[in-house]
Amino acid sequence: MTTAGSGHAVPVLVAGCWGAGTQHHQRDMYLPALTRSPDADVVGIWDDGQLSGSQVGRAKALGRDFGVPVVEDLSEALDSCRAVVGCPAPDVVGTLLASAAERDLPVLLDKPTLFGTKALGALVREVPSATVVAGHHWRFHGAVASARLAVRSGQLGLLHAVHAELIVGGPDGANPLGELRNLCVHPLDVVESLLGPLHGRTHAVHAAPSDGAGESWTISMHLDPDVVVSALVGRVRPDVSSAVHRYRLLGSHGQLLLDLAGPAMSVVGRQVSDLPFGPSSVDAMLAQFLGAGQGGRLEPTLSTAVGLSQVLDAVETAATSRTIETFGGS
Amino acid sequence: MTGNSPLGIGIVGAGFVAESHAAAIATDPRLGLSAVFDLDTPAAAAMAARFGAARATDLTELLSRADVEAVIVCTPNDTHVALAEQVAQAGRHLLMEKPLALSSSEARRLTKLYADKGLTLLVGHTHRHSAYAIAVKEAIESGRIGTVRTMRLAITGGWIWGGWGAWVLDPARSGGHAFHNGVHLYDLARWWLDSPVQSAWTCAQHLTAAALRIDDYLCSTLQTESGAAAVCEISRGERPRAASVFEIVVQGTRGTLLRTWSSDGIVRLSDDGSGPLTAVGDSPFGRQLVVFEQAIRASGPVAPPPEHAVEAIAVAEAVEASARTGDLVRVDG
Repeated sequence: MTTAGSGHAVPVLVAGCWGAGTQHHQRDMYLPALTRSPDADVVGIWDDGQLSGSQVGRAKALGRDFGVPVVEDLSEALDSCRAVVGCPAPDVVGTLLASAAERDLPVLLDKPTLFGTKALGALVREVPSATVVAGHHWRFHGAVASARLAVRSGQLGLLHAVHAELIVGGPDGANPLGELRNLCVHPLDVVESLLGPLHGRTHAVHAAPSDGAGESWTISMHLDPDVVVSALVGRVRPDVSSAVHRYRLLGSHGQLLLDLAGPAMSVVGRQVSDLPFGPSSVDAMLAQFLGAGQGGRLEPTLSTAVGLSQVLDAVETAATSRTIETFGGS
Repeated sequence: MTGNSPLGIGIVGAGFVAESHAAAIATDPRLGLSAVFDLDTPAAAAMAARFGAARATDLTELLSRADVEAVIVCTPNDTHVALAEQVAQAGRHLLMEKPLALSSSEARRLTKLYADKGLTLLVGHTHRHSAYAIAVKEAIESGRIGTVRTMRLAITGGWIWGGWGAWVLDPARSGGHAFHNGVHLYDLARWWLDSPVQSAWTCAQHLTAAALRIDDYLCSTLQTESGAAAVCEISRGERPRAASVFEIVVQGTRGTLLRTWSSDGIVRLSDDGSGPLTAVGDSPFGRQLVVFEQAIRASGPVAPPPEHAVEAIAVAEAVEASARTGDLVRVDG
């Protein structure tokens, strides 16, 4: 794989167009970012009509919209690329990862926690040689990356608490696999990126969809060695387009307040609107993924996703049984 | 007391909270500060002189004055029950600084005592009378954000209480952080969510010093009978100690209400510290005293009702129990 700025774009295969419910991350996230990136050359879109979870129709539509050839043979598709950005259906992912691993191709895998802990564990066991980056893009947001540097360099001293809100609306709609694995994974992944693997105890309150709104989760944790974490995560009604995505980091020597609605300026006219600037979190994630061949680290791994999935299992049990659950071997 | 004469008030305790009450009395012609009593005689004398009031030599003298119709108690938490009983026995109305008592059973007993005597009892959950708190309540009631499902209320700073001799640091005297400051948050959550709190889970820390006997950081997740959740975070151990963070998040089905670090419209960046400042506005102490005065004159109910103060103490008991055990603790209703 070549790197950003080297003048040689990395041939990328867009593999699988699956999404739970109305989610279509290849269309809405990855292909727009890949096509504007000077580091990527999208050589094809693959989906296999012989597999039950296939989305050939979606693949063909994407091919038309982005001017990219659609390839139905996986071997042929993989032979033409040096990196894979995948949104495979649950029953396709194993085949994709195994085939990519045979060619030593790295795979950026969209939101693997949606597959569930058991399936993820099986993937790790069955395809141990696969190089997989879990597509948890918010940890790559510039503000989170900057906060991570501040935390790791000791600018805040030792963290004693991290608090987050991720509240979304918009037309994407509720995820049929549940917002625990769809949305809650993001703030927990950001916390993981700040603190490392999560060990501790959790309490959770779950609100089922009502009044046209999706689920809501109130997650509280006491992590080892002594870090308090809370996250308010939910989906308001689809006619509410604005989102809240913030973090507050409390350390022994200072605090950081992060608002992931930025970087953005405001345009004050007849209405106030946002003017984003700089790379998005997806841009930043792809840049790191495509630059990994030059010694960059590929994180978060599939094992990280397995760990987070186990944490989500504990959160779910805590909410349903109204108990305090332990996770991560604490 | 006549309908036109100011309500005569006596203040017991001459610390900084008493000063806030006295200042509010001084700005309202419906109220008058008659006398001040504190065991710290110089402090009482100084405060009485500043506000043109008499200094009572003891509580009995203050309570026997004809111009003291109502009393505000601003003393350490462990003295509240005995003082409230004396004020009631003297037939005076009471504005008791929070917490009403250090146990919900004692708080219930005091509430009944005042009701039986036909006296007004208002507990100083002063935040309820703040412009921001009223705005949040009105926004929720208007349906603007839909049905509330979860909320966060964070009041954090670094202003640890005095030195090692400070009574607040003694759990037997203050009840701990949940009783001393947490009750403000628990009361607001119960009011805004319009449902009694059912359970509490708490993460507690000693930030300023390991030797603290109370927690200076408490983060409690409350769940109400209606099923809504409230994450209530209160800290006196943050750095930089000059930076106060006061955040509110209320997530409803139709939208989210946010009070952010810059919501007051003023932020300081200076050599002395950086962070939000509080905008000048109406005094919640003044608004609280108007509620008190009107309830006394009309022999009517007060808001918040004493029963809510009892609930806040029951929540504080559960929060402290959870902090000690790590368990999810049911609130004693």
